[in-house]
Amino acid sequence: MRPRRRFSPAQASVLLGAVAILAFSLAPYLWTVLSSLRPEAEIGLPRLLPGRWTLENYTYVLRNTAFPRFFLNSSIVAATTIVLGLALAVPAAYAFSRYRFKGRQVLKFTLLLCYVFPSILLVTPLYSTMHRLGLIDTYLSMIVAYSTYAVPFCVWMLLGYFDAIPPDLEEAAMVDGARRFEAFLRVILPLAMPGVVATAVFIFIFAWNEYLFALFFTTGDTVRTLPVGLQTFLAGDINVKWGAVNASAVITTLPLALVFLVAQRQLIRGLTAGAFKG
Amino acid sequence: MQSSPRARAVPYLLLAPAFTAILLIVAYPFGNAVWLSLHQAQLLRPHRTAFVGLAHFQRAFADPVFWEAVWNTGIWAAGTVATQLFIGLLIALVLNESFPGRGLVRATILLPWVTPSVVCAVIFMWMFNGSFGVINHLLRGAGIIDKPFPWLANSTTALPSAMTALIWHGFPFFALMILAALQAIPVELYEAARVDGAGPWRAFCHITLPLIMPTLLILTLLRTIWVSNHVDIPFVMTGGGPGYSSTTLALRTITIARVELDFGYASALSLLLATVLLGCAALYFTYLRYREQGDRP
Repeated sequence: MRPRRRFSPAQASVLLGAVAILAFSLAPYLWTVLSSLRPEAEIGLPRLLPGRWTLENYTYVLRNTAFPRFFLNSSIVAATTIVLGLALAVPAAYAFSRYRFKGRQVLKFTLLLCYVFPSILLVTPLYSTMHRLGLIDTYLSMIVAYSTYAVPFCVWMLLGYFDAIPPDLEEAAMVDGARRFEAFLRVILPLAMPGVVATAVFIFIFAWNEYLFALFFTTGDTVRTLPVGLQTFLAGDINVKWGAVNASAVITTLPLALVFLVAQRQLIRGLTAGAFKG
Repeated sequence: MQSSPRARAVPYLLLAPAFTAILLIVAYPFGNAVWLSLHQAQLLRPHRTAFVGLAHFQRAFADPVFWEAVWNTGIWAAGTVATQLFIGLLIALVLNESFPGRGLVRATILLPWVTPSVVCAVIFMWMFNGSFGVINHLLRGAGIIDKPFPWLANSTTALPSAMTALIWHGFPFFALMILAALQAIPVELYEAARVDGAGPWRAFCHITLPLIMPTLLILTLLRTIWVSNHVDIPFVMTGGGPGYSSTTLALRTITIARVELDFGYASALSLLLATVLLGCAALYFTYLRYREQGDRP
């Protein structure tokens, strides 16, 4: 038997590239995880692995800080934003997909414009409005803002899924006596479910990660979300407990990592589909 | 289908919630920003809102900090987008080859993208830490520096350090979008090129690059807008300092609004930035329209 063929130089360089990509994507994250698993006394030492593995940074964060509260707040805001965001985006996407009406192009263009609209312009006036309405330090301020900002991207993403379902299907159901709304619920929605789930995942990631509006809309710990809470741990530069900060960073990302494990296929598809290619 | 007035109203009713929200949360604040930029409006003095015309804009143009922020915004946006484009292209080219574990690598690179921007900032603050960051450890171990370097507290390295974090956060988007464009190129083109005796480099320049150019162009425009808007990472990592060395225009807007509570001036600054960015958006729309017409013979 011939010995197994060695890798050609071209194949070897591709594999080398793949290893480099993995290292580039994961190394910063791994360093944070490793730093979160060592005792505070070991935190500045130039060694890769902890001398003593410990979860004390995690117990400290969960017992002695407002972090559990931030986690709860983020969960409430993200869950509600998903529901409200879908409630706004699903009917809109269905209308664009199934009806031809006056002003359709203009409205679609408006959506595209909102997608590229510089959000920095909205922070100050929206903060001033929320302040006037007494909505500072409420979940509502964040939920309303996030679900609206998610609309353009979500409509575009859902539109792709709705357009892929042949209109004959719901017309057949309607011939059988179902009203359009029933036909939508019984025929279209189940078929578009993968798209709806993918859209929900995107809303979740957006709402969970959002920082700037949350920073302006919250003044205390009661409704503060994780990203803003995490940043407050860094205030007072000198005495930053880096072990605890790293543990908080890991906890903040954990739900996203789970979602990403479960839904990575939809994520990749949504990412490339939702990029507004015209 | 039937076209009774009631049936004709259905699509508008379906669109009403979404567009009402947009009207209230995007259009109204936008109008408000324009109004604020022409008025004296400070949170702590709500009764003193006087019309000041273009005074805020004059103040900006006379302010050296504004011009430093403009310069920093240019470096920030151009440097970040160009690097992400380059890294994204390299990664996409590797992922376009078939090798064992390709799906796993493709999924793994999404991790930086789903990581919250503030977590990215924390990860890189920790790595760039001036006393015991891992980057200082590595450089000292390699004998390149002999004492720890304060990356985030040095006016030359603060902005590039923050850019590094943002580049890491955003490269997966570039890589996956470019990969999708690469996979849409018919294999026959490369086979024909090989028959004609073209090497891999010539095939790349004459087939790959022209065919993925539309994607590269769209990515550059969209991400320039997004990156110029981005404040989370520099706000958390450097706060714009030391001095104003890592202050971008977007960050300056936020500081004026949040620390000085001067909404008039902050709105004027954000309008100036938005004007440039809406210019990018106009280019993007022009391009989309041009391509749409090209698609229909």
